[in-house]
Amino acid sequence: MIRAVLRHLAPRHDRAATLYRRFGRPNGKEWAEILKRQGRIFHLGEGCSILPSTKFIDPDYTWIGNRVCLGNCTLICHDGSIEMLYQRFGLRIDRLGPIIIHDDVYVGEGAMILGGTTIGEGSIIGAGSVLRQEVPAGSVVIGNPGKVVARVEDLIRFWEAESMAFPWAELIARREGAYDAAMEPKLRKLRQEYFFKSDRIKGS
Amino acid sequence: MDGVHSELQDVFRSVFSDDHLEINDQTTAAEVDGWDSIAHINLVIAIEKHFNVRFAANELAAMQKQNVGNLMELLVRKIDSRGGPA
Repeated sequence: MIRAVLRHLAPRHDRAATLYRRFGRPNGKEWAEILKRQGRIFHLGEGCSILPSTKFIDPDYTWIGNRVCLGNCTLICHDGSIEMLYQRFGLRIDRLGPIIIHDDVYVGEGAMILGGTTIGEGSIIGAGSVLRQEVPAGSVVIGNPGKVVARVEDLIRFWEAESMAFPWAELIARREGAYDAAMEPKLRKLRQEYFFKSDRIKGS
Repeated sequence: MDGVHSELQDVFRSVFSDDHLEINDQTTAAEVDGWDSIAHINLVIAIEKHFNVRFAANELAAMQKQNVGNLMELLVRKIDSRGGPA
């Protein structure tokens, strides 16, 4: 009940949004919907999933397409050093660029997306990557500075092959989406048995 | 087989940017600098392009735990079943 009230109020009241984020534990889709209704991000498309811990430092200069998934990452369009440069040298510099994330992009945990970045459709940005560049559509990017290391279409072939080789492949073949709460306990048990089998752990 | 080995070595050298890289049947990912999961993808894609073959999902999955000798056997079978020169 309280969760529903907070969710209802969150788009229009910052305090409610803070409480909803903290106590309502919204999932990525729910939080993206709140962000969309708040309207602070310059453009936020449909069907996105954005973890509540994602930081939008400059939402006014951030453009996000449809079905974009953002992990716990940071998007920052400006360069804060100009404040120091002004104070120290009296320099009047503008250092800021837009962030444009096209449709169906995934950005992983801890990634830092800086102003001037455009991420092409269907790309995957690995955890911890730092980007300030144009990323061609369908790219897999990792590292700091971010580097295109593979094509998503190639990655998919290997990930599908790996999935098929897991002992729980049959469950995954039946799963709708990336998470199924009802299936998870059984999956967890099978994964733990497989990952932590004594012959897979050195020294045991 | 020797011709395939030589060409395969060239592909390895190109993918891992190492002109002196030597591979043999026993070579595994652990012995080649930079042969991680992403490099493995790029290596296999480069092999597919170079030899004009395509590996099936079960072959890709098995490949991860095998050595260069296993890879070459598979590759030779693929080239033979394709019916053309390597």
